[in-house]
Amino acid sequence: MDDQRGVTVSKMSVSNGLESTRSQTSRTGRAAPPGVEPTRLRKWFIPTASTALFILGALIFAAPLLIVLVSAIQPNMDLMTRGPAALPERFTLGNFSSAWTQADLAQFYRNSLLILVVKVPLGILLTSLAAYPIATMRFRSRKTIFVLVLIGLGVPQVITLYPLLLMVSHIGLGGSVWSLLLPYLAFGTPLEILVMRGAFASIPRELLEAARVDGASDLYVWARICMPMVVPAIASLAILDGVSTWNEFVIALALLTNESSYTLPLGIFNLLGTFAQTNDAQLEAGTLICIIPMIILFFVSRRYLIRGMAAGALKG
Amino acid sequence: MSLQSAVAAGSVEGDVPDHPRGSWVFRQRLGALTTRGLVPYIFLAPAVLIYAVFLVVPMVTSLWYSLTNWSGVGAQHFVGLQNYDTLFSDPTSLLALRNTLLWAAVMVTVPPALGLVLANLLKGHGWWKGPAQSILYLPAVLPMIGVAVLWGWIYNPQFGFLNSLLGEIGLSSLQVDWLGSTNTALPALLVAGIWVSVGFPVVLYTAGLGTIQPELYEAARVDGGGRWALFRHITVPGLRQMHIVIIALQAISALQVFAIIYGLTAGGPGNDTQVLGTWMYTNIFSYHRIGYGSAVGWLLAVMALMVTVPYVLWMTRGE
Repeated sequence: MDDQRGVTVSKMSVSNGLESTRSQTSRTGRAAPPGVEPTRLRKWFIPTASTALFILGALIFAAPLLIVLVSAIQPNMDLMTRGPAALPERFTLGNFSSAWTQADLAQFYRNSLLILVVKVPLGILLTSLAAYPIATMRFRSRKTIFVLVLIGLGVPQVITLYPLLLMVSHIGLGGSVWSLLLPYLAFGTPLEILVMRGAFASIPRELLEAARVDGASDLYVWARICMPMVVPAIASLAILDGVSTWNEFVIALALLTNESSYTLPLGIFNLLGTFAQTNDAQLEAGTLICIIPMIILFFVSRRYLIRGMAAGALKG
Repeated sequence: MSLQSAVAAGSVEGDVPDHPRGSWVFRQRLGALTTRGLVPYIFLAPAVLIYAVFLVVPMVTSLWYSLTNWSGVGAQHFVGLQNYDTLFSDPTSLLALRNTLLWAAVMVTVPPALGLVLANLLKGHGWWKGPAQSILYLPAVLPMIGVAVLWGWIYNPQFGFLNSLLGEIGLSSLQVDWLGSTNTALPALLVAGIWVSVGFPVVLYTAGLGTIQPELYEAARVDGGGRWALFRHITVPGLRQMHIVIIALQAISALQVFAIIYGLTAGGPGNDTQVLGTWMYTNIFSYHRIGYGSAVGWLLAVMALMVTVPYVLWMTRGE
């Protein structure tokens, strides 16, 4: 154990001067066995080695993305003749522009954005309304309703596809990108209600009580007291829900029957059918175009996303 | 509102005396906030209605389909449990069931175990704790079908990275059609599946580690506990709640695996990598066997619900 703590201390002294002063004072006499000076090995070699190990591990883990990136910026001819593991010789951005135009990715982007900007706010609005009484009121069958909604977390989407297909064509939305809206709202409900209920439950009771004693209506309490207090939770939820809406595949695969209403994941699937084995560079470039928004969103909102997930799980 | 009137109104649940530890008082406070009448139901209605119509109704409808021999056109003839009977003697369905169970078994063990180890390795360490978590979680925000393209490019027999790499380093004898051979297809898919799902346990275990009181470790160290003993007796039990959440959610999503397999092998070679999800989809949308496909789907649904229902009851135990 002593050994490990010694490592920790020496690592801290490299990364954070303030921390190290504190930890060294608090751990004086325990960092190293008696008689052994903090050696050069501990001070330099171990931190450097573990950093190198981290970078190596990160590169290996990210390899599937990096390989596709390196392949996408080479002429397809080079990939076919030399293979993607050879050191690239020539570079081009032409794959991106040809994938963009040939596969009509602009149209798929439009469709994905349309469904995203309607589904996510609407879903959060409706589920935060629903979570409000579950979190703050006591009424008959409260728990039953909550449990029945949460069970939706485990309903496989595949079993609903054929009935959904018939339903959306029955109400005249067949094939259109809007046919996704209601199923997406339905399948998003369990997680969203779970998260919003958790957020509302953390609001001090006294606050709601006081407002109601003052004669505020429930709609007022929900809109002006509860919602402003859970903005961080709403932000996390919007990101989580945005990611899953943007990425949803199987419902779109079943419901979107004409190509002009495809969302991006179907666009990728389409690319796979069109370019695999014939123009792989273009396939990789097109796929990158489709997944890059999620990669950017992820790095921008990393803290919110990870904190939201962890909080949701801890409360759940 | 007084306790008596709350009880009279039936709004205090019968199990209150069973939970005396503090929650009872809390329940009374909640009771005091009760708004009578229809108000809660009005708030619930829009979301619950959409949920009922576009999730519950299709679910029940497909249960009905599974009891018919419907082909998508013509009359729906009720055939009882015949589809389920066929299912358990159909080698492809049994293979799909076996593959689904294998997939779930791997996904509830390997990513959580890796996640636990990685979260402990990253605990309290320098500048790369954040970046490491991010990189590990990144695959989970990619569309699954995009993940299929990434790994398809690694496994591609003629032009893929893996075979190209083996060729570059002079091991062309080891080149295999990774997704086209019975022996390698499912393991290759599993590697891609693990790559996607390792980040989630890392993030959750990291959050869980933050909730374990450092004093526990201090006390155990004073008592002479070694590194393994600390891990075994403090870390692992301290993360109990996280184990349940992670394993349940991993199981639920693993049973429903679809896009990564549909995109990489579409169930092939032959039907070697069919899982219940892809096999149901193929039956319904390629063979137009709505009845039989729905039965395959309901076998999956029953398995998923067998995990979900206890999990949900556990989550809402204090309600």
